[in-house]
Amino acid sequence: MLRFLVWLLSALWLATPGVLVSAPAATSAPAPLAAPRAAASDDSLSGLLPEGALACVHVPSGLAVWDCPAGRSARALAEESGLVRELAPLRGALRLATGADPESLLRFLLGGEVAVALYAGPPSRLAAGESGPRAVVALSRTEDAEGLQRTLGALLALASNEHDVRHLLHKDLPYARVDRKLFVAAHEGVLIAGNNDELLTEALERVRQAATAATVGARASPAAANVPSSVKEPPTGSATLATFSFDTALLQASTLRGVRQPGRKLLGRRLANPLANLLFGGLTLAEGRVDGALTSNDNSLTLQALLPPPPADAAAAWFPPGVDSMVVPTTPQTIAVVSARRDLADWWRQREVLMSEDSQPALAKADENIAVLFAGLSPAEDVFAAVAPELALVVDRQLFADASLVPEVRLPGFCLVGRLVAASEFSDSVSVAFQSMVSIVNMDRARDGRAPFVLEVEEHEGVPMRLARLAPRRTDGPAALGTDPNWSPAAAIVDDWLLIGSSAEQVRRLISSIHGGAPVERDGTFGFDIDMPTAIELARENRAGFVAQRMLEDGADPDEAGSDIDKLLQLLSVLTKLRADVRQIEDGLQLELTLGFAPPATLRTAEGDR
Amino acid sequence: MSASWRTAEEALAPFRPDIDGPWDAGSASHLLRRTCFGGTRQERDQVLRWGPGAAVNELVACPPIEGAYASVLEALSPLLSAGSLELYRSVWLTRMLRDPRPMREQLALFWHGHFATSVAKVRGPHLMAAQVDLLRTLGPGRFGVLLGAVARDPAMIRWLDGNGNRARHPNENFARELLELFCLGVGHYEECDVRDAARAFSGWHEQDGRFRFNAREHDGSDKLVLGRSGPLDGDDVLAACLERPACAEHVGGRLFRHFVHAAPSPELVTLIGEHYLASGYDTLALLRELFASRAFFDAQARRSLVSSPVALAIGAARTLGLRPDTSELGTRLADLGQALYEPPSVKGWDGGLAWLNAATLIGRMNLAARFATSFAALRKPDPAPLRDGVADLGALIDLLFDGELPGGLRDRLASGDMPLTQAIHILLSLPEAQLS
Repeated sequence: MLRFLVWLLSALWLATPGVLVSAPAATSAPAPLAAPRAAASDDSLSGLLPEGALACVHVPSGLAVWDCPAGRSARALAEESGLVRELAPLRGALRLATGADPESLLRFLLGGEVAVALYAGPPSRLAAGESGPRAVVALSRTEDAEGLQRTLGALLALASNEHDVRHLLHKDLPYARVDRKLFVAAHEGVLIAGNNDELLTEALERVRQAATAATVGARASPAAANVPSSVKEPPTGSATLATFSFDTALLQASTLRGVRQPGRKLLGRRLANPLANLLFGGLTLAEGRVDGALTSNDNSLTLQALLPPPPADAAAAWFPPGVDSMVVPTTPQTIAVVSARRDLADWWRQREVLMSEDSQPALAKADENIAVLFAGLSPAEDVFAAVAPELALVVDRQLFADASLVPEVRLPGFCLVGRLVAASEFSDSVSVAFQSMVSIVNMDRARDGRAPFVLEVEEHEGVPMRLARLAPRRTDGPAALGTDPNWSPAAAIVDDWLLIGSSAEQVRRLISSIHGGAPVERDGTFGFDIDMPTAIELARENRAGFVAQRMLEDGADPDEAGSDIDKLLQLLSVLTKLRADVRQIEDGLQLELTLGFAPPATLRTAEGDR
Repeated sequence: MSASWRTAEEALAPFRPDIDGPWDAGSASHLLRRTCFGGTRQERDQVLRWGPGAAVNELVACPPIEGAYASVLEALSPLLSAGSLELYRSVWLTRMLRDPRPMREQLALFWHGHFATSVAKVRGPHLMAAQVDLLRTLGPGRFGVLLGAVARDPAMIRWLDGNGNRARHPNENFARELLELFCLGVGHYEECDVRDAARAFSGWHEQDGRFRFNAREHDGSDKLVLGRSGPLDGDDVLAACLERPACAEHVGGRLFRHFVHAAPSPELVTLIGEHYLASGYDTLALLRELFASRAFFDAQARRSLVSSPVALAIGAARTLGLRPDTSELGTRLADLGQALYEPPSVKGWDGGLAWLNAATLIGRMNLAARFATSFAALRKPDPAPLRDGVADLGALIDLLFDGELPGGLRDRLASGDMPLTQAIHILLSLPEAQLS
């Protein structure tokens, strides 16, 4: 049912050619459908939704979503991707059935206030608990009750061509069932849709009561999903597009049936992957409600959410005491920065509690290996304890200055950045570990007959760097080297900064960045920042590889695959940045996710240039 | 194999349409399956028009790679330097799918099983890819040239411990497999031949992914191998093998079993050996003779071979006009028992009925389901995308099974009552579909 509903809404939205590039406020629709208005906050549709929702989304104005820069960019993407052309027949059918232009029809149905709620499903016959499919109810307020009845009737008539449409009654109020999956009704200008008979009729009853009360001066109950007080007010110039609220129980496996396996693992409570656990473990551990809002301004879309606080026993590792602030060196080639304040030593000590049982044997082995690399030091007490709780991963585009060692497939450089508690005491241990690691790698490569890495020491801006340079043999061609030229591991200690990277050129740049005072201050206990233009530049450098990969996966011809990749890169260029920050506050964790957009005009200009 | 002919000469004689049997769509499909993995309806109709002689000459050929297919290979080349086994597998499967004359890939696959070398021990996927390139390039030519190149191939040297074959400590692995598996077969050599052949190959080493003759580790003293004596080196041993009729019979017989019928009579194998030897081990010439023979077009040869997973998948995809995701296909085929670049042992894949067991049969049905879904999706918007012009299920059944299906199955499937995806799934899961 959800898929049908999404399809219907998407189809309606995309079947409006005139508004895909620009969305004029006025329309020349033939049908007399009134323009919607944003809802007043005290008679919100959220209050008319049945009680007990697991999740609730409230959109004050569908038009605001439609017309915000992100909405315009998304529509431009849809047009560029050819989705609109595929829906041309549906557009014609809609016009024929309703007598209205699809654009005005969509604005009429969804341009006003919208509220959607998700409910636990009834128990299935085969399993206990709330194991049935989730139920959805959606309400949308229009300004023309008669127009809505007429439009719904026309849409149901259109649907009856291919679906089983039954007309039913709740008391004296009519509603319809489509294919036993979708229930729809319209009352007093409110469109009600859902996949559960009982919930739909309850919503219908609430709408009727609210309408009756309104006529005698009463108001509906307050909104269930207003912006919580702990979520920051939107900045000046920003508009709130939607507010939402959900229970973290929603992230249970039964809800995520449609999510691919890796996604489900990531959302689990005790992440097995150590790196994922270190970064995200504290964010997924707590139980309770998440409240948030989606806001938009001229060139970005921001999602703010208040997550429940993590359990106290986990706080020490993931949320060490101190100021939630750190500095990270970056370079002009930086694609992404992931930063986290984590007490590595405490996290490692508590690994048996914080990570799943399945991962314990591997963790025990890792503990041994780390001890070997660091010449017998204890990983928790000597190695990780030497690193301050400020960690970052910096990802850079590599420039490959040595023209003789440029790989066909270019990978980014990765550098782990940390601060040392006592740099002078730990320096030798880092050198030993680096040498040991390169030796182990070389032994393995020798068994594979691959070129070795040669250990070198160089000085960059007065900082001694240990690096491992790939030493190709005279006979090694590109196939023998493969992606190896991407790797030139290096380690350096600059003041109290520890840099361990996969690319020597990146480490050199980061040393210069630290010396040049370029480090960027970041707030929060966790965050990431992706510079989309630089990432796309790297993707463009690997265009030939992507084209070949697409040919293998889709059986496309070279020209066809090349065109697809170019289009994808073009579409991605509408994104300018992706940034996330998590701050610890008194009530819990505050998440802010920002997606930056280039104006749609940029997309079209670039397309024209191409 | 016993059929309508009485002698081996008659079996190898050229097939005469209407005298030895009809030259019909079934014959054309049979030829396409064995030479090209399979073919579309258009390709089958073209083969039919050519007639058996011209069709064999056209299909059993490895012309230079040019045109659109050359552009495809050029576009795929960046991945070849990535050095990943999965990518090499995927690229090879793509070559099998898209080569307009896939006899080249059929032969490379045959030689890959004959000179079975596995990445599991070689460890350098690029060396395995280079070996298959060698098989692809030299495979259609003279066997002696191919054999000499394989003996110097770095992957083969690693696989059979060539670097451990030193003057004072000969390693017999390569010499033994050369005599037993690659050239002569059991019973055509003695243990002393193995020992001296190993000494002849001492010093044939691999270094940094290249062949290197290490003179200091080569045993230059006298040897006696297969009747030849003197300070023999590896090339002398190869020549001694090649001049033995048993070598031509062994390799020619394997070619016959792989491409024509699994059980040739001893007389037929002897005759094939004679012809192979007389042609100077010209593999493509022998194959043309085999594919044009009465034995090949005999009813007993048709659908007599169990398709290997690779042949099954590529054949179905080529026949249905599909372009499956070869990255995923490589993994599926490994699950079905045929991991390219990774044969199970030096003997290669056992083949035949060994391809089929409870697990692989289910895997084959799952593969059929995958292809059926792809085929239905390809057909749904418009029949036009079907490059072969298959207009209805009945035509497809005729193409896949030469119109021969047991009982009323053809009528039931083609009646249109069953969803297309389900019908194709059933078709590709039939026992007949597992046979070539």
